[in-house]
Amino acid sequence: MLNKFTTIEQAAMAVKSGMQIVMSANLSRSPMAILRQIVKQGTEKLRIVGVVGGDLNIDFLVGANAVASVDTCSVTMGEFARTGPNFSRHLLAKRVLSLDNT
Amino acid sequence: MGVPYVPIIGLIGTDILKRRLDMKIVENPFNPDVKTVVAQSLRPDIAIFHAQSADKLGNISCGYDAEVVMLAEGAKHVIVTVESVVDKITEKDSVGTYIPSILVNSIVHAPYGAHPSGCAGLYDPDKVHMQAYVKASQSEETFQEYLKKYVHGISSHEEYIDMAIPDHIKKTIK
Repeated sequence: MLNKFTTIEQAAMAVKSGMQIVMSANLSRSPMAILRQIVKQGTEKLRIVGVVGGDLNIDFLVGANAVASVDTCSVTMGEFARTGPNFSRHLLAKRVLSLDNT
Repeated sequence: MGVPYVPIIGLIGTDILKRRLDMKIVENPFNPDVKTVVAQSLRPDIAIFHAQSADKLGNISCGYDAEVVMLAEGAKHVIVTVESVVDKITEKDSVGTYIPSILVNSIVHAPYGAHPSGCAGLYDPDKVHMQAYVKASQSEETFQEYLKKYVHGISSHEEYIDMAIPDHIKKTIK
């Protein structure tokens, strides 16, 4: 039987710069521990797809300069911010491409 | 489903098509007078989820977000981090959505792995941390400071738990 259990560091190594990554998360279940490792290992130019929508997960990666494009209907942050503050800042500075799929 | 593309009603005449290389306007093969937008199927390189639990065989119980199964089927490689590992989860006793092991490539046992967001049924978002996150996100300098503290200055997830998870959240997982 294949043992699928591994460490955060090993699992994150599969995520390479330029890849298309899909996530399903909001203010519940954002996979922050592995996203921190992906940032730490220096991955960049990710093409992020958020189904349905995005939240802290996408805003964090954008803020860490790890993202080339975001394909989702919204990046909100619940009671904490109407729009993800990093996403908004990077979008206005044209540092990330938004592919609205509303 | 394995289909190469899907037709979409609408979008013609919008600016969205200017930046979407994965969508084109084509002629309806059944009615040449009508134009239709077609969108290339999504086949992501990686899907990443955080879930409530996994069993030893790699089956996942993932709350009430049913789209994760479709995304796991569509992605080439699936990574799941989980709050806890139990002996056995069947589709019947999964709390909410069940992702069968056959769709999953790697699993990491990462308690509090969603922090500072929450994990439904276990813990809520960390309000104090989230407010600090939003404040730090207002400029490049302050967010780099945040990253230095919580990402680059941390050697492992275990160290992050010791340093960043407040006691009231730590009490939620036994």
